[in-house]
Amino acid sequence: MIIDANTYLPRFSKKAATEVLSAVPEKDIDPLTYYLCQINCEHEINPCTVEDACGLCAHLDSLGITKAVVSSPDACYCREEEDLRRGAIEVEEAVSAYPERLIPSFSVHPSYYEESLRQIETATRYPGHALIGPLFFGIQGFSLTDDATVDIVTQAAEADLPVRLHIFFDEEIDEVVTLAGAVPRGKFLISSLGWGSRYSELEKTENIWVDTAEFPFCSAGTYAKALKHLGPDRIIFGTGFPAWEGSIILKIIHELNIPDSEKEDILYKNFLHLFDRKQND
Amino acid sequence: MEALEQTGVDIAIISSAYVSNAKNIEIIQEGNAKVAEIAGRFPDKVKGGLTIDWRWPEESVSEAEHHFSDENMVISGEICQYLNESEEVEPAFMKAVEKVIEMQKPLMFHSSFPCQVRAICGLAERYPEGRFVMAHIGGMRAWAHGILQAKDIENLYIDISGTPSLMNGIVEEAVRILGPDRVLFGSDSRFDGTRYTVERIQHSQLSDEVKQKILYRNCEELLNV
Repeated sequence: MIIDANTYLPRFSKKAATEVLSAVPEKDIDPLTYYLCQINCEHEINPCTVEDACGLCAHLDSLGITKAVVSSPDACYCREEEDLRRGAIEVEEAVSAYPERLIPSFSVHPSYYEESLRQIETATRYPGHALIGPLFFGIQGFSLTDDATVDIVTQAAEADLPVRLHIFFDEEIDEVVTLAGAVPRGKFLISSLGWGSRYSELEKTENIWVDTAEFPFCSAGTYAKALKHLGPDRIIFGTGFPAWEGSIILKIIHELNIPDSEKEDILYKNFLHLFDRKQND
Repeated sequence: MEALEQTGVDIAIISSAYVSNAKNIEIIQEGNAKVAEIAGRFPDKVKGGLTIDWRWPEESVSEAEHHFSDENMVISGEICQYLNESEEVEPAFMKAVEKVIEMQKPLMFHSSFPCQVRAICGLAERYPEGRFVMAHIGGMRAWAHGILQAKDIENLYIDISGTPSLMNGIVEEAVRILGPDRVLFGSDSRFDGTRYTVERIQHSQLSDEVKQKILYRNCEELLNV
């Protein structure tokens, strides 16, 4: 079994992409955001040949991935409350079409507090497997330590819903560490192997996991660092589809110089453990 | 040499990494001399890339004059320092660019941001007699700019090293839009990553002919190696 903890539905509205691109200084945009802004936007260029949940499942098949967590780009980069609602509908439609393959992840945003709480409530209807996020707090320009954010995350934690956080700059990890300290019951999953740095801070926490998505060129050296500081129990397989080549990430993991049992931990067991939602199972 | 062998790379173009943000010209000169020395020691496996820098245009001209008489020095690049504080190519630096073109060597520029893509495309358009390479397809935050802006500039190549080649479908889109003759394989010399980049091309949906062009034929033609 392999579970991909980090994928996005391969569609992003032109309006949202245009707004994101115009709102973020060109030197501050992260590669995932830049990629997602190029797809399905009627540009001359579109590297993503997958168009829908059916295509996503075919892609998962091609890599031997059993299940994937899906989120909606429109909701992740929400510019208004309606984006959260529309994104959640997209996610729910995809999951209801492929319930054995797809696990929902619902976005929240502190500016849309009430709607965010409704997203948490929606997530609780999925016993066992559902997540909140990813929160694009850096690119969306909100703080993880604002009262509203902490409150939303606390409510997710009380419902035993893990919260995913997309990070691009390693200093963003400081905010995650602060949030994880403020919400000790929460379970936090950050992208990109924690950017290969700040492991000394992450090491001190107990409720932050890192996924392998988005930065395959971190290479075996970065994995070795993550394994040394966090151990195999806190690394979770993810690809960052559609942006990143999952085959390369899988290959790096398969070639790690660790026992097969630890590779299994990374590829799916940690995920299953993390998502053992006591309240709803 | 061992790393090249392990990754299946037959010939590597190398440049001196530590000169990319050099504090003085002596560091660059030393780096170029080291590259030339290594290329001379392993002429069948390694070719040299010459670093030039906008902050020292006169000295960059001298470096080109000095090193390009060596047949193992085949390209200028990867040039990282070519935009001044205003994010423009410093006019005085054109002398060095022109010298490299006069000596019939291509120039390879680092790219990571749209401003760099614009600058590289601007140079290639300004000097149609020159041959230019945009490293990293524009970079992980500008590859779409890179591909689209390079589309109609026939003397501009891209290399697929760096992040974009590890992202879904970008190399394929580059080939679709630019055609197969202006796309070069590159690794950015992370040797464990090199293998993945090679495999990424080998296992892609591109035809065998296109794969061969990317992996070596286009480079052979551009650099006469």
